[in-house]
Amino acid sequence: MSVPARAHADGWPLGVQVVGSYGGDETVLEVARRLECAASWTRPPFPAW
Amino acid sequence: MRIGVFAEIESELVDPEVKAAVEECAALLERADCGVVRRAAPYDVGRVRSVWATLSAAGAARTTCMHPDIWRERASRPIAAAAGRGPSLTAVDYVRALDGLAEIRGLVADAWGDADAFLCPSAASPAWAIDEEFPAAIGGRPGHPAAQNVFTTWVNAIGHRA
Repeated sequence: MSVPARAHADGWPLGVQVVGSYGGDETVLEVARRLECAASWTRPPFPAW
Repeated sequence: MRIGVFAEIESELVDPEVKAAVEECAALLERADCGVVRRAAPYDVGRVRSVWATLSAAGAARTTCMHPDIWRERASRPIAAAAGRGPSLTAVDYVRALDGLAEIRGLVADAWGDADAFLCPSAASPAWAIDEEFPAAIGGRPGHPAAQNVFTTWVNAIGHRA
């Protein structure tokens, strides 16, 4: 699972990847959740089309 | 929870900002009560590339057979190139690639150790222009088409959740 970690200079997120062991879906989700809560990147508002 | 971390692989290209993001996230996970251990990548990039070159060419060629009328206009240049290599593969090439895939899975299982998960880059560089096939430079060195698959193809190969 790729998790946005922080913003690159162009505003796009710079991501990291979490890879679980076979059958480790819950572990991957939990690690990603902890990262998402703590990482500095936040999703900007969607542009108005 | 025990997290194995690697931010680079031997001489492969990686942007310093990508490595910094991995290290930053490793520190965040430590503060979030995860055990973080520095590990070598649990796979051989060269072996993964070799096997995947055959499997992706065969797969792309299969798609051209399934969609003969539209694939040329919809395939990206790298996919079209892979599709062009597919028809010249033999059944022996394909079965040997499957043997190689099984070997990769076994080697990753052996190297996995006691980690519950791995943290690593998802790409070797930050996002690049959409009309370019690959970044012109990564970490001050010339980019190349294979640079971006260093951290992702092994996950496709092993079939684990990611």
